Amino acid sequence: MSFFAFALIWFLETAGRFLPLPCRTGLRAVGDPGPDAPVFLTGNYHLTVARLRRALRGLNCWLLVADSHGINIWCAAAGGHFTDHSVVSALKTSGIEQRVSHRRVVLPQLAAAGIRARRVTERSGWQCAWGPVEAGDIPEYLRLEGNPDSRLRQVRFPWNRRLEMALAWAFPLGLLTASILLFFAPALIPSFLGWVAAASLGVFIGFPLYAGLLPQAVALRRSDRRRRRRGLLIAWGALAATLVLSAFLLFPAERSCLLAQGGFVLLLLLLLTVDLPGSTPLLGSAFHAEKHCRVVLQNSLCRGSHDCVRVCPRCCFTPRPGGVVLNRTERCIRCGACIVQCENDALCLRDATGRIISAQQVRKRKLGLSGRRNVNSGG
Amino acid sequence: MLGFLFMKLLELHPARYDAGLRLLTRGNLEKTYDRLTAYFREGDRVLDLGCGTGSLALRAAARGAWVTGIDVNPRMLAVTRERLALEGLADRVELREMGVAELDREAAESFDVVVSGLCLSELSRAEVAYALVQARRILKPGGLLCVADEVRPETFLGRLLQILLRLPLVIVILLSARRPTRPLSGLPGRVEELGFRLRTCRRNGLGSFMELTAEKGGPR
Repeated sequence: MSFFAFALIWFLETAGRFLPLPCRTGLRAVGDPGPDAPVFLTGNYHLTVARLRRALRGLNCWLLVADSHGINIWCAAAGGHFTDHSVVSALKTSGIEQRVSHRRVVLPQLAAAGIRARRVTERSGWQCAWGPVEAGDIPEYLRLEGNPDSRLRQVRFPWNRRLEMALAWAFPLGLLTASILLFFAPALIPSFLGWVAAASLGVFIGFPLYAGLLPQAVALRRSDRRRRRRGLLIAWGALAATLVLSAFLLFPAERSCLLAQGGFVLLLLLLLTVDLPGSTPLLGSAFHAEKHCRVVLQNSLCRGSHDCVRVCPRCCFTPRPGGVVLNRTERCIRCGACIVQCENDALCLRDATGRIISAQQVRKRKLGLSGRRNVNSGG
Repeated sequence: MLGFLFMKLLELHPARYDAGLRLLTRGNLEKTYDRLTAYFREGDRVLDLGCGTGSLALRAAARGAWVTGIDVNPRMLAVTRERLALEGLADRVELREMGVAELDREAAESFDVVVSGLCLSELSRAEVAYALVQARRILKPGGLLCVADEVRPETFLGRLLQILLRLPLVIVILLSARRPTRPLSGLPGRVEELGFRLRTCRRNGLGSFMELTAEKGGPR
């Protein structure tokens, strides 16, 4: 795929990011893979597969696309759409077993929130390894002979990912704005669309500038949280006022409806930031029922399998001989991957009241896409 | 926020599944299932592929068959379990959370009937092919394969009509099954290629839905 074709796909599919975009499932050969070539498995979200094919150029390997209902891997795995069954089915029905002499498959690390590697092995006979978080790190992963270091295991939120989030928000918001204004004030459409673009870009590109101020960024007492929220609201109001004032000075033609413009920008900023932490991979969503839960390590049960170390996308664990230390809890986003994978059930969740949610319960709960965990919906 | 609202809308409730399907098929599905289960005999061992909310499994158990129902969705299985308990048929049906890919672990020639209602059209082509091969392997000689599912109409006009009719239903399908289905094509031919003998094969008026029964060679 040429750079331009990929850029077009990237733009269109990022703009429609909130919709599932499936592609064909099944086996694809990359380069000229032989019976010893590595097997990489992924979900059937179209953009992910396009991205992987670019990342795998120049390598000889098998790419196995399993059914994730056209949803990206992390959301699909946490939401119960990309499950052990999808993986087992891809391994056994795609014909890969006739193509390779080994039984080792590399799964995407972010799928660890929903796919139990051990169960896949039990049900299919395939050994599972966790690949890097970013498709682009696969060559580096192979160079490290399948032992990714913490750099490859972490989710990051660099400028290009922030640009993606800005586009993903700006497109539907712009569409909504334009379709409403079409009936009331079509003349305002260009300037309002400009505001949508500016606000989305500003909020996401500028994220590192104010991330430390977000109440979710650090463990805070409730009263501190409220104060920070009020502080942020004032900050957004000030930002909206500054933007509109500068437009007032720069574009005299728009002066007539200053109040409407200001109100619109403030509304935009609030819409964009109402679940800002949930729009980043670095902070847990404010809508999740589990936002006040903590991951708890029961040292007496830990046998040092280090599965948690391998799957934690925030590198909260430090391995030690025969066990682990959970020493960076402030980074935890409660994705649940460590709890799902631990073979000894040494990890669990504790909610704000001190009640324990066991590993078994966490495995059964799948994250509803609106942030509600549905009990009884997973293996 | 928009995404949040949209996703909220799509949240799946298995309870909605049955109502959605009844709406989609205007009651015809129930009749189809009644016709298919009429072939079952008392004491038959029946495997229900993708048993979902248990419509077929319940009917089969009520006719005195011993049923094994498999499905990958534990929430669907929970609904089935409740319905079975209500009807007092829980001891006749064994439910397992597994997909068709794991059928290779079942013993060969261990079932009298393999039945599947609206499951194959939710699978990929590779999975359908795999499921049919495994169905043949685990059926006893003379065993029955019963399929009721969406198929691709054979005529161009039928296909056009199917597309037009499905357009407004896409939302309902997404809400009930959470995913688009892939109508099967060339099912009777594929079944015969595998060495089954077709017994009955009926399509609806539009040619978009098929009820098929086929027999594995040998005395039953």
